[in-house]
Amino acid sequence: MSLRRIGGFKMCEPWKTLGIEPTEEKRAVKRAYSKLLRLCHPEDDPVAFQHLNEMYRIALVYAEHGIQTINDDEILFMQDVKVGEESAYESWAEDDAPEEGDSPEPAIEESSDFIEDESRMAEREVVDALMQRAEKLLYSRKVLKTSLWKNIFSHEALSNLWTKQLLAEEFFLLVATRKKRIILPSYLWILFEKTFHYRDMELRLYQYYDPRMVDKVIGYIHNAHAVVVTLETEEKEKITWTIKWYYYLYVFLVTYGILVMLTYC
Amino acid sequence: MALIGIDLGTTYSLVSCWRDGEPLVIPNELGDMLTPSAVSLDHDGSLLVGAAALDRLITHPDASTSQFKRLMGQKNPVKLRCRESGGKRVHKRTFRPEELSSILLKSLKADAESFLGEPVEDVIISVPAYFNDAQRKMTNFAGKLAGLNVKRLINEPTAAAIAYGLPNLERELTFLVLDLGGGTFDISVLELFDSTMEVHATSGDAFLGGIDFTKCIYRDILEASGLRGDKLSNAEKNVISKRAEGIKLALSERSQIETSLHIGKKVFDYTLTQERFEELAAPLLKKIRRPIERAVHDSRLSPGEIDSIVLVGGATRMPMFRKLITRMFGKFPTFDHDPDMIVAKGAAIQHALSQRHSSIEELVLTDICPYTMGVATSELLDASTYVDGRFTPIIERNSTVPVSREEVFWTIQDNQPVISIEVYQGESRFVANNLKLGSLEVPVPKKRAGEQSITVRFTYNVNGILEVETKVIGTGDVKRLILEESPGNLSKEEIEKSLKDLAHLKIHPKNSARNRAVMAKLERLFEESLGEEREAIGFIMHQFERILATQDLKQIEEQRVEIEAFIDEFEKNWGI
Repeated sequence: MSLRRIGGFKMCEPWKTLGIEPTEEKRAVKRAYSKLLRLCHPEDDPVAFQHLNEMYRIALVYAEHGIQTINDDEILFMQDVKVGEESAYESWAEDDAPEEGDSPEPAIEESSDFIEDESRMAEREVVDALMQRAEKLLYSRKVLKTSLWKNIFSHEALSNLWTKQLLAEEFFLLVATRKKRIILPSYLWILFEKTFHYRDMELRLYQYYDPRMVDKVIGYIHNAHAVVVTLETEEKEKITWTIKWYYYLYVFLVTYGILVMLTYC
Repeated sequence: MALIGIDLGTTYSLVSCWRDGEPLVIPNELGDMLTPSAVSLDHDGSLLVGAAALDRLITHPDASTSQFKRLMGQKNPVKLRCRESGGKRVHKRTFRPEELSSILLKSLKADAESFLGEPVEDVIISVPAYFNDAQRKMTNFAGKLAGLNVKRLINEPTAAAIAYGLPNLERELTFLVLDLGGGTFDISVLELFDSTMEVHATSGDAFLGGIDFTKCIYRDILEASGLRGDKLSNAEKNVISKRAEGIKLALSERSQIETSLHIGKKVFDYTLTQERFEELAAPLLKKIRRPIERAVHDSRLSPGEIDSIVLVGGATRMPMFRKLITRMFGKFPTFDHDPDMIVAKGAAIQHALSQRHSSIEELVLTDICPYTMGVATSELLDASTYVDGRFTPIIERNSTVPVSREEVFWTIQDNQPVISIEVYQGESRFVANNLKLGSLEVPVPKKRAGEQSITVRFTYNVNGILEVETKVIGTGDVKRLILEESPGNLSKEEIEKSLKDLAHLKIHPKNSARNRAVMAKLERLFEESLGEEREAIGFIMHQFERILATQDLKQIEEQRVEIEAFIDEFEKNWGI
């Protein structure tokens, strides 16, 4: 859910709207919301519903992260949070080490979720191993070999949704922070896009990562697809030209033959 | 007043109603719950809808059409032509996709009316969640053309979720609905608590469905037989398609199909195993993964949080689809419902809910919009340079609807007279990669750059239709972009014309529709069979025609029952 667009509101407002005391229990928030929902039904009162729904979503975030109201009148601007995030990126971009620097909030959230859930440890190992292979390949001489990349991406464990998602994010960071040696060719970018569909999450990526980083990756992907389209049309034109020349040659030979026949008859 | 819901599908359509506290699917005049979404022009210039039209796809390919839901929102018309029986006159008609849908809706409406014994006007129609603005408006318009009052459009997976959730209201559930229909694929992530149902994320592909799997087999048959697609007549193509469909359905129960096909004068054997089918369909399975990944990513689910996976749509019966889902989620999907009827049932339930019908427990449902919507803007690069073609979202995808949001935009040049608002839908930061919905020119007072501003308000309603309103700050001038008036850029005259045209069209009268369907089926079997079988069918057809001519209703009835029994027997023995 996006909090960016909500703008400013008082810290205590979600609780006031829901008519409950601040709590860390998500269930209580849901119960209160469900009760009020019947009073401002989405089909009868869209305006009141929209307000209730937004406040409910914020209350859920508060409850999840244990954010308590310190000062009732404190006004929270979601934009401020975003500015803070961006400055964190700046510091990271300088020392060029994303994993150790301040990574964006959602990434922390996910990785902490992840550590809590022990059943996902095995998954993590698989992804780590694959990332090691990917990194090695990216900086090796064989980087242009599609089959080697396909080898990595066709790993059995990636048929699981969550494993693949994890790899998609890590791989994004890898290619986005790649130190330039040679420019990767279009077909590799197309392969990456086919595997991870970064264009589907384009706006989300801009929300969470340094825009320059996203610009770079998404830019390469868009260009790669544009290049392929032009190449295909060029190829077609070439073929039609060859056909044309053969046709001219044919017409020439036929007329020549007829002329020769006429002279001898 | 009956509470009606309609599931307007790519290959099959259903109509249902709310009766005695539960949803009920209404059978058509042939007694079937599923009406094929097919329309055909008959010899006398009238129209056939449903099973008869589907059979005529093979016998009269130029006069029949189906799968027109895929064309919704596009302008290119479908041409139908049929020669008058015995005569030389040729009936020709062209239909736009929404007109074909309205013909189908009209027939469903008639079925409901004859079943319920009262006129039907208000309906709720289901659409794929991933239908865009133009496609939704066209569906709404098709309802209008059919003389229906479309109360609401409901997303198909949401309808299915309501039907699935209604018996489980006391429970707390987080579940997925995967809807692989004839022509579209949708996925929704939902949560149910305290009789409240929330849709968290939706994604899909409006051009991926069961018919694409059939096409895989179709191409394989061509390859195996050495036939060339471009050398076949339409009728032959339709015969192969039909057999391919039969093979696909049979593969859901058996692991290998051996059959003999006759196309034209050629007869050959064809074998397809489950493994080979999976190989053929591998690119489609890959396409299915993508929206699922996206919806799960958007809803930030973790594996333990999913309580159940609900499969909707006939194509989810394919073992390879179920295998894919099990592998992706590490969890088996639920099977305790009919995947064909659940959407139609949900639409009827939604109708009862929105009327606050006394016989239904109160369930409040909140849906979301599947696309990000916004406007094209210029972005400031440094102190004085702008780049244009950037996409500024106003309503983000997966926002709960109804939703209304406002953003402020400024002029970027001195004395700029007009701010042009271009409305786009899509997920890319560059408008060039998104879909344009419409545009609006807003005249503003001339001032210095950045001093004049306007607010742009996007309102997205429960039907999934967008309204745009701009207001010039200072003068207070309000302008609205109402895409409603001209669905899919049709002019007013065009709309009136199609209303008039359709009013003149005759759809086959009820009592003869059943006879017509039997006749069409016999005609198809005649074309598909060879030798002695063909002769036998020809004889039956001849006899039936003679009895029809007598107009003795009792005799016709007796004969038809006999023939229907014969057809059943014949199809069973004939293999798939």
